[in-house]
Amino acid sequence: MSSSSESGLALLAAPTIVLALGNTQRGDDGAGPAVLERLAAAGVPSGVELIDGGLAGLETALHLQHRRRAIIVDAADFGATPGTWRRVQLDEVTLEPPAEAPGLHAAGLREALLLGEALGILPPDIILYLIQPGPLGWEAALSDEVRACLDPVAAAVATELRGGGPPSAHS
Amino acid sequence: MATGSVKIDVHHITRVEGHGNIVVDVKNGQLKQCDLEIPETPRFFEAMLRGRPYMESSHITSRICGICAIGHATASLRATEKALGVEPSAQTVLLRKLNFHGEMLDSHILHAYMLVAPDLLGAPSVVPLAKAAPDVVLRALRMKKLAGDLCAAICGRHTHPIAMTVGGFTHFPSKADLEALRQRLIEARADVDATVELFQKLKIPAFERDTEYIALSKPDEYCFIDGVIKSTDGGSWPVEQYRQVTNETCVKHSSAKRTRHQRESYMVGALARVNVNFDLLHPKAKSAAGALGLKPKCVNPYMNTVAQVIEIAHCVEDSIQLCDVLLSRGVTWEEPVAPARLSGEGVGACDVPRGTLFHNYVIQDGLVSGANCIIPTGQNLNNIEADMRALVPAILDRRPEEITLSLEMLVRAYDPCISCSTHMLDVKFV
Repeated sequence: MSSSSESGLALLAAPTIVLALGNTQRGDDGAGPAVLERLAAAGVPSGVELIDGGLAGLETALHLQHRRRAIIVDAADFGATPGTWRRVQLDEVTLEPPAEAPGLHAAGLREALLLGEALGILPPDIILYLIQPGPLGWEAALSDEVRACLDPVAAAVATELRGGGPPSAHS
Repeated sequence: MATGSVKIDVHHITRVEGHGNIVVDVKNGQLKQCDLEIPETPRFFEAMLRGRPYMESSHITSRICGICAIGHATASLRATEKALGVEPSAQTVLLRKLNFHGEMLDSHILHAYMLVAPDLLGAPSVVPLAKAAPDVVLRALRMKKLAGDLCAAICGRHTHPIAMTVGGFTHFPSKADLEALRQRLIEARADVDATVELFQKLKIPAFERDTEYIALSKPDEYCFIDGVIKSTDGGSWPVEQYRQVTNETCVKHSSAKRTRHQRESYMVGALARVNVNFDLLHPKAKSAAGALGLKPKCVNPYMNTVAQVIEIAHCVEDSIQLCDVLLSRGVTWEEPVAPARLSGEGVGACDVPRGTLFHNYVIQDGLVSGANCIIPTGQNLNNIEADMRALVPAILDRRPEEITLSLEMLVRAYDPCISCSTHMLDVKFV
């Protein structure tokens, strides 16, 4: 999965992006990329681009430019049991600032979205699939609980990509 | 000059990487204290290397920094290769240069646009700047992405590269990768021109203090990897003699060691490189220097950011040339060069975005038994303090907020990476 060449990006950018974020070397933080792998294996409709954004930095805002819709799949701590997932519109949630003052090392999805909003380049429709992680240690493996939610999340995203309407949240 | 008292205490300077404090105490017009405190905990990377197999060193030390990961990896590989008698191929040398330019571009664009430009354009940070001048920030993001994609094509990824190894690479860019990169670099010339035009319009603070400038140097190219250590005060030293140049010492108010050479302090980084190696810059970079009013030897530390813009022009042009060379000779899959021996000592030196970086390893039977890494920001700390001591008395008639801003901008001009040197920034006016 690679991003489009910068030249002619506005013309080449698929209208819908599915952007997975997370570090596959840090336990359940790799949930987003794992969902993306399932979507890639099953195939997606034309007009959809799958991008593994890895560890989001400010440049993540560029992935969202020239799109009509962005579906972002990411591990997120919302205080549920591991493997619980939620589908929300961006305007339904508040992304909390990092506990420490944001430095360059801490620029993530929240900062990229703030920058994208300031630049006026965010798509009108931003949907977040948030997966509650369990362990986030130094290991390239997902917990059983998170692994169990990958197929349902991938199926929900796939249904949405086919125009099947938003699914409800599950755990 | 005011005859009164000013206390400045900036606890955690913003828009630098890591934690540093500026503490200034002026009583009755007399400067009592002027410190750049580095409160960060040392990170003990050298100790982590001891006992590890030689091929792990570049992967461990690239974790010293998320911005200069390729710089650390390259210096590390050179130290190991020299210790073990490995001579990399001509193709490896070319790919490492191109890869290094990617990181130099990424880091300089980040610093010039995201960290310094907000000061010069009167914005508190990059997000308000994005609202006021979206074209400027979009350009920066576009250029940064190109730099990151360049690195990814050569070494797998920019942060914590995976394809760089002792004796060569474990991954090679395809002809199509190089052709696409070359095309995007050519298109990026317009962004480079716009960057030069932007910094032409920005008012760089006027402050001059002569110091010693140190950079790596080669006779036939603008040097970033290997070469010899060269000083604007005269003299050059093989990189193996780096300790004669760095002369590390400890100070009470800093967990980062300090260095000095032929004066009380010296400066490394883009301004030092441009001062030492100006003649070897690409003609387009020299032309940018002319447009931006930088002539060597420039002794205004705030001009370090301008020197970075000049290096952006150089690196884009040199990257295009390197793509041309690689495309004309063709990139072939090469096995990494095997070590000639498993014990020895080597010093690797690179001029990374913030200045000269040294890695020195002793390897015994394939395992690292001793390591010493000297990071650019550590070498600049004495020089920043010397600048602060010269600057504060000259601006004491200003309001404390203005003095604070001038000092913060001074520290930011050095593009310090404090986490990496602690072995740095908050300003305290006490």
